[in-house]
Amino acid sequence: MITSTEELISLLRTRGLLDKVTATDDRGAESGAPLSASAHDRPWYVTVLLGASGWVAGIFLLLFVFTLFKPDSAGAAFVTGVVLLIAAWGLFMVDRDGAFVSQLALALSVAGQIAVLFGASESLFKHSRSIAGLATLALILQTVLIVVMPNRLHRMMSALFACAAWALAVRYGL
Amino acid sequence: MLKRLDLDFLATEYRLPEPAIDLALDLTGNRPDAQAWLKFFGRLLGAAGIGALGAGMVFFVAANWQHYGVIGRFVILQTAFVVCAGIALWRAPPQIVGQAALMLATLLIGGLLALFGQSYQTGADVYELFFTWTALALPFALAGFSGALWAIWWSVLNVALALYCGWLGHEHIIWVLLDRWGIGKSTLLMAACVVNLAGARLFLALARSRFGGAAPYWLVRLLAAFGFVYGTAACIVAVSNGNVWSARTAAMTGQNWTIVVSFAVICAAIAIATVRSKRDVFPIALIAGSWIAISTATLINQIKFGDVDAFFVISIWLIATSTVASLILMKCVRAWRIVDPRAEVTA
Repeated sequence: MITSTEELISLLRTRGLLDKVTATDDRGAESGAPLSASAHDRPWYVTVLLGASGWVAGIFLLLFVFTLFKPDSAGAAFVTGVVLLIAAWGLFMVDRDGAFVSQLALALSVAGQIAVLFGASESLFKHSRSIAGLATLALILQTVLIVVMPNRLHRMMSALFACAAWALAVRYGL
Repeated sequence: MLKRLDLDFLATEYRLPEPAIDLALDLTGNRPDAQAWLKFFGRLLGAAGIGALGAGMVFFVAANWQHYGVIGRFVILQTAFVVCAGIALWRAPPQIVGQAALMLATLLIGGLLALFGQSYQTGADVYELFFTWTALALPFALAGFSGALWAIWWSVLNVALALYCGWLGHEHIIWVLLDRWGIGKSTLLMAACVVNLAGARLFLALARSRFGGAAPYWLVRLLAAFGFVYGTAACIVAVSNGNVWSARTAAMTGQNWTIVVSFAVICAAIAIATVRSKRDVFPIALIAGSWIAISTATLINQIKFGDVDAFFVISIWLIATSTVASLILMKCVRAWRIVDPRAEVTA
């Protein structure tokens, strides 16, 4: 039985399972050296820090956008939200590895999600007392975002909120 | 023997393909066999069972409140409590059965105190219940020799501290006294921060002693996190000059400055110790998170909310500070992992 890291690395190299090809970065570049902390092995507490900051920043961004453009109807709020979400998606696509751009995109997305949900709920469930409809809408939105948004942190947060929305939809809808 | 943690680190660092991971698991004897899975499920179901038993006992009494008299309710909970204490004596910790019994007994103390307060309408505040619970559960925590048991004890203590610091109204007799002594809410919150950070330091020292089994590193992190939550709240109350929650007004500025400077000194000391040891990035993350929150609160206090650009400035500030913090943290993660790949867990 192998008892040391060096022994294991040597054996994997001998069998051709650990070579320059296996150590490739996100863009497919070969490095040969061990890869270090990327988004994939980001410690959970850094993820929490980024996620929480992104959420609060998103709320302030939403306040800024609403104060600036003053969308005076549910439809306008919905459109504003969709525009924000598209902007977030665009930023994620343009610069996937840029920390600042990713954080900005996350904040835009959070603002967009709130605006879309606000707009849609005002249009569809204005007179409803139950939050089941809104929760179902949030579940659909978050599921779409999990598929669409090309960012690991965003997908993780969307998955979390999709679970919460699902729980609320089941609790108040059935 | 090569541990699973080493393999996890290796697999992540080298992006090992699936066949390589399979081979590594086999060659190092780290692939969980049927016995390992059984042990895991045993522990998982055991923990779930303890929680369910504790909750079930309390809910049983609550749901059948009308069907039992005062004596009947006490008999049910006290019988369960005595049985737990008996099991803990029979299979004394560090045996897992004894530890589980003490955890259940600790939860039952809370149920008994709540029942006592409900039955006799003592008029006691909720924080008094939690402080009494903490005091009564301390012998069990000491005897249990378990990180999980200590985590429960510290959680109860922190609920008591949170209730004491945050939920007492200005008209409460405690505040009348504290105001007379010139003690503000930020000072109380800072005291709770110091209690938790001292606990973290104590358990860090215990982890390196023969009592290491009762002081897992996750408990140190948990207590540090509790401490930083209180420290951050203390500074946010302080920078808002006592006007947010405190019973005092702007006259407390000097005390508030002391609080902010004290927390800054504590953070600096922790940062220096962490950078010197290069073992765990978590304390740096706590410091970063705290000061992002404090600086944002300061910004909110300084900016007039009528301005459109105020929201934009706060948003950009949050994005920029969290980005810079994450870059610094990831730099530390990369550099320090090279020193010790298992640092995050074994430090």
